[in-house]
Amino acid sequence: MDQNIIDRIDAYLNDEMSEGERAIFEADLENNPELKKQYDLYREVDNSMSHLFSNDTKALEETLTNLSEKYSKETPLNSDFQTNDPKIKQIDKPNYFRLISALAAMFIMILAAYFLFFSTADSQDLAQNYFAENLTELSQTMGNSEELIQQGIAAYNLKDYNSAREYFEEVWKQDPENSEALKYLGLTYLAQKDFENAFSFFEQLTALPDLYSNPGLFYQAITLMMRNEGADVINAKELLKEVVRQNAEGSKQAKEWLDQI
Amino acid sequence: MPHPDQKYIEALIKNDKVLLDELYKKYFSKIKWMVLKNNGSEEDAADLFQESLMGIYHKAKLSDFELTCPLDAFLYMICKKKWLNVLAKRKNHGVTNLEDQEYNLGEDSFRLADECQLHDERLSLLKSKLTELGESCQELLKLSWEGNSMEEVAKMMDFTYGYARKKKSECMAKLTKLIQTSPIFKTLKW
Repeated sequence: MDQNIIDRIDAYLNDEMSEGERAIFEADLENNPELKKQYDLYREVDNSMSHLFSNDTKALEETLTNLSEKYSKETPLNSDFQTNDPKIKQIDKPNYFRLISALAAMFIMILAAYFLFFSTADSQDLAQNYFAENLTELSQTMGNSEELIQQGIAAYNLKDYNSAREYFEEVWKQDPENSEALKYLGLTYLAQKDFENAFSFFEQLTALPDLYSNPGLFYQAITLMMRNEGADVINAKELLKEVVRQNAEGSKQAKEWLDQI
Repeated sequence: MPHPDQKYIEALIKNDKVLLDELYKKYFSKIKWMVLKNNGSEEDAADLFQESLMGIYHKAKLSDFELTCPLDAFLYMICKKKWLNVLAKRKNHGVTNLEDQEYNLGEDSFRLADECQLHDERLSLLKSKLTELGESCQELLKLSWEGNSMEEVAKMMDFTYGYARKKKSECMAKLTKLIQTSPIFKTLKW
């Protein structure tokens, strides 16, 4: 973040601006989306960290640590959780309409819970299968592709990912906006399950302007689906929607997945 | 309408030791059982439970938190997700008992769980990027976030007030830059 911007945000939040400067800053906040973005991030970081380092947070941590110690020693293990489900109510009188309704409702709820619970696992499978079927073997590109790229592809197809990465990196160092180098570097990292680096290269690929066919967004989504941590699936869905909206490379597959996950 | 178990969320916010003791008594053993049956230790279970509660607390304090299902079910869902992530990182595939509980939760509960995770991930990124700053930056920012005024921070660090202010601004610029250039920044929806 630009130091001048931070200085202005800091001065504004600390009430160290004259009335005139304040008015200008507030007008800038309304009209300059970049300044607004930086301002929001600054406040988010400051608020979150103030919360994290607050005495309240420390006191709660202490309470929970004490309770954790107490109960991890004391609590007897209950292995009957599977059988003693308190939520299942017994129907006392044989009322068949109620029984059938209850069974139907239960079936629908179990089905819904199944789809909700297992959707993340499914999306990981979908992405892994797609990767295994479509991206573990790359076709040698035609035309004026650099020789290093061809060598990289050959190494990739032999699953010699470290060598492949070296070839692709060589091209990338010479030309950081080489779309093939970015794509293949991302795929190589993905093959090695280094999701952070894979995502970063696909992100750079996505940002390239004027590319006739850009699979960057679609590959970003695949990376998140394969990693499947935290909010990955939610974010992958957003990316897939964007692929479909832009009719970008991978849009057909993206549409199919959006119906499934 | 919040679920009656919302009282436990309030207990986390207020550090109500009596209610939190009740919370542990009622819900900890189930999580412990899940962890022990799935390649974890008692220590793992205690850490997992505590981290999940802290995650709920962070979300409740930093934005909002309305529980619409029993805490029992919500905690199980949060802990299960976290534990799967731990196992994935440990590359342990011997998961056998994680799908034994069937809860019929509304979409809002799933959304709330995802939001909790998003908050957790944001805070983890902030904490990890803070450690990449120089020592004096870390110390100055921590003192300021601990609630000290900049006059007090300047005094504690033996700086002039003007220098401490300037330094804080520089440190924040470095920190926000580190955060924004992290590959996962965009996935955290800031």
